[in-house]
Amino acid sequence: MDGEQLVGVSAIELAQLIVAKELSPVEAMRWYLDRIDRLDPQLSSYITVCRREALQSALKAEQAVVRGDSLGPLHGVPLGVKDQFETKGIPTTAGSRILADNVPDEDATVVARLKEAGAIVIGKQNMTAFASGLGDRFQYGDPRNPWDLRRTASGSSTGSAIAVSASLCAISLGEDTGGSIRLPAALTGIVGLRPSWGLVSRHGILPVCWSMDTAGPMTRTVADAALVMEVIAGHDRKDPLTAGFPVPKYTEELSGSLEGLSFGVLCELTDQRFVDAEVLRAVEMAVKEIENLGAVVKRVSLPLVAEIEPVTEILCGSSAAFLHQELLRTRPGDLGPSRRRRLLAGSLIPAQTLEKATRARAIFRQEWQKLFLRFDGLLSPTTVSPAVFAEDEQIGDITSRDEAEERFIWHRSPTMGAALAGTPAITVPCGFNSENLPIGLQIMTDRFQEALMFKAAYAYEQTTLWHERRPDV
Amino acid sequence: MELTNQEVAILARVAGLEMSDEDLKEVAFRLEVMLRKMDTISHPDLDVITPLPFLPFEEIRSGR
Repeated sequence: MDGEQLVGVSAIELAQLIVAKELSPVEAMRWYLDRIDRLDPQLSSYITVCRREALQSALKAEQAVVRGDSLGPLHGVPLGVKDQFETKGIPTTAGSRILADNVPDEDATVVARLKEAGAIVIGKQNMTAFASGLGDRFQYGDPRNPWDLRRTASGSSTGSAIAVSASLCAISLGEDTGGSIRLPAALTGIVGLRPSWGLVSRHGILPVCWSMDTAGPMTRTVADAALVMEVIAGHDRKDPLTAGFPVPKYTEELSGSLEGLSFGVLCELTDQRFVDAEVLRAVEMAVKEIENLGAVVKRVSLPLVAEIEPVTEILCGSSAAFLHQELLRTRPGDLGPSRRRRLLAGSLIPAQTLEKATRARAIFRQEWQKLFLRFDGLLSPTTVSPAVFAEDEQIGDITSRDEAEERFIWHRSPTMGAALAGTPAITVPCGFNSENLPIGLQIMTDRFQEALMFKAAYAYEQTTLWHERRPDV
Repeated sequence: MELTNQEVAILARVAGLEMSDEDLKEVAFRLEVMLRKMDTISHPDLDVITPLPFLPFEEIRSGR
């Protein structure tokens, strides 16, 4: 098989080629590793590339095919892993030089499950240090967006999104606290899913905010994301807050019609004062497409959405401050200035304010979930704009109150509602702006309704060709 | 409410944290903005709602 034909090939197709003996796992792995060697110096999507281990595993995978062993659904598929997930014997830095020598002796549960399904870890991917928001420079090279190398791809699962988009791995695992899977996925033209909180194990993930952290797939197609979710979801005794019900066969829920379903378009997340005009236009077109597929779509308002940024900052800031209190006292100089100051501010939040934020969150979740009594799902843009230029990324000191408000109390971040409520959300490519930059549509459902979300995302994806466009790198 | 650097420095000392002047200035901006924004949030149920940060355990177990 011609190597270049693997560009954009989905994980499901790749596994099928391997099982059919049309492609050897070693040949596939070499192709991805060579591509990383060739392209990653300019993309900086990887922190660690596991060349030797990946080739050894690929050889074992090949032998299993030859022997006619029973093979997992991801047999031989190269898997990229955000460097926030513990990987046995492979450095896990969380994007920080502080953890440069951290080599776990156990895989995170989600990594272990993907390996059991046949996936092969090809490398650990670049991220903002400790999965914090943007503000400091990346400590393992500045990732670049494959659609325009002058631009970035937000964060914090930045490297994972770039690697999937540029075909430097077949699938990736990301972590989403407030939007860290969905934002970079949308900005690089791929699929990214934040699952319901409690559906996927958090064991072995270096935490950000315990009550919001989730692990999810970053893939080139909706079907790949559904397959990865089938593998990683479900109860884990090492994370007692994971759901106990059987994991649905998400890949069997992928069918074409949306007849009988209803969707709400959130007014607060499609406000032209906050959202780029070309993004809005692409999302409006996508909404029309979903109507054409048989769904009923209505506009709906939830004013509380406008109030959740400070609530999130209080909850995540105080949680992160607690988790990193030791570093804050012993190695403050090794934290980036923005990260350090966020942790310091988080350490000084008054107890009454934290309690108020926790209560405000509970009210928001209640109101958010009431929307799902009226609608099967919600629709919005995933980001307020396409990818920005690297020099416009928010790096440097905050020098005024106005700047503080502008920079860290985000304006109507479309990803925050689902994160705060603990409900699932997926981003799918829905077009490109006039500068050929990808735009994402966000589809959200009630908790544990991932099957419905996949159905809608797949139906939309199949009516468009957006997911088939790949960056010319 | 304007938060001065001096007030933030006292809070930091109580919490056992050290800060440079540059850190102090930015932390004061951040903290002040957060507190001011939180002050604007008012909802009649704030005093009565049970502030669970996640879903009740039984609901997670059953997937309801």
